[in-house]
Amino acid sequence: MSLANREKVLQMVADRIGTAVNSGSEIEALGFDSLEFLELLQAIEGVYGVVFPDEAIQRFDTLGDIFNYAEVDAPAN
Amino acid sequence: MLPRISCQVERWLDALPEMEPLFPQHWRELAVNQDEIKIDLDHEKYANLAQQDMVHLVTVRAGCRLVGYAIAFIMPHMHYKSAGPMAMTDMYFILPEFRHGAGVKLFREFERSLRARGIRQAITSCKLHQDHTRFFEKLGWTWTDKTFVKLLS
Repeated sequence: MSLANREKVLQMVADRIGTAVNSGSEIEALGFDSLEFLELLQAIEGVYGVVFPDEAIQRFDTLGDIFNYAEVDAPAN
Repeated sequence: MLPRISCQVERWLDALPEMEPLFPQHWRELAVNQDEIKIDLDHEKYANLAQQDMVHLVTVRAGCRLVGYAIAFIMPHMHYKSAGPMAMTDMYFILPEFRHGAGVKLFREFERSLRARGIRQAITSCKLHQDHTRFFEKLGWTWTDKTFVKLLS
C-alpha cells in the first residue's frame, strides 16, 4: 500500500515537472511555487488519507520526508 | 544539497540587522507609488511596539541565512475589543530564489505561532500585481476586503 502510494505521488510530481523524481528529491529543487507546493501537499494528504500538521510541514525537505511522515508518524485521518 | 529552509519565531531586534538588507528589494517589488513615497521604516516605532510584545515575527532561513519574514502587529481590534488581540499582517517577503515552496512553511508557522500565543483572528493581504489569493484560500483564509490607494498630494 505504501509503495503504491509513493509511486502514485512520484508519478504525480513527475507529470507536473516533466522529469522523474524519487524519494530523495528535494522539494526546493522541484521548482514549485508555494501554491503548487501547497496543492502537492494536499494531493498527498488525499492519497494517504492524512492531514499534515504545521509542525510536520516544517520538517519536509525531501519527498521522502513527506512519505515517512504520512506512512509512519501521521495519525490516520 | 540545498540549505534547509526553516521558519521560526524570532525577536524583532535580534533579526532586524539581517532583515534590513531585504527591505529595499521587498519595497521595489511590492510598493506602490514608488516615485513619490520612498521606503523609510520607523525603527523607533517598531522597536517600541516590539518592546510591548506587539510585533510578531516569523523568519525564513536557508541554513543560517535569513531569506524572508512575515510580520504582524498584535493588538486588540478597535471594533472587537472583547475578542482579544488580533494579528494584523504588516508585511511578508521571501527572496525570489528561495520561494520554491517556502511560503507554505512560512505561513503555516505564522499561523501556528499566532495560534500558540492565543490569537483568534489574523488579517493579511496581497498586492494585485503579486496576487496570492489562491494560495491564501487554499490555506483556509477567506477573501473579505478590497483595498484602495490614492495619492492625495
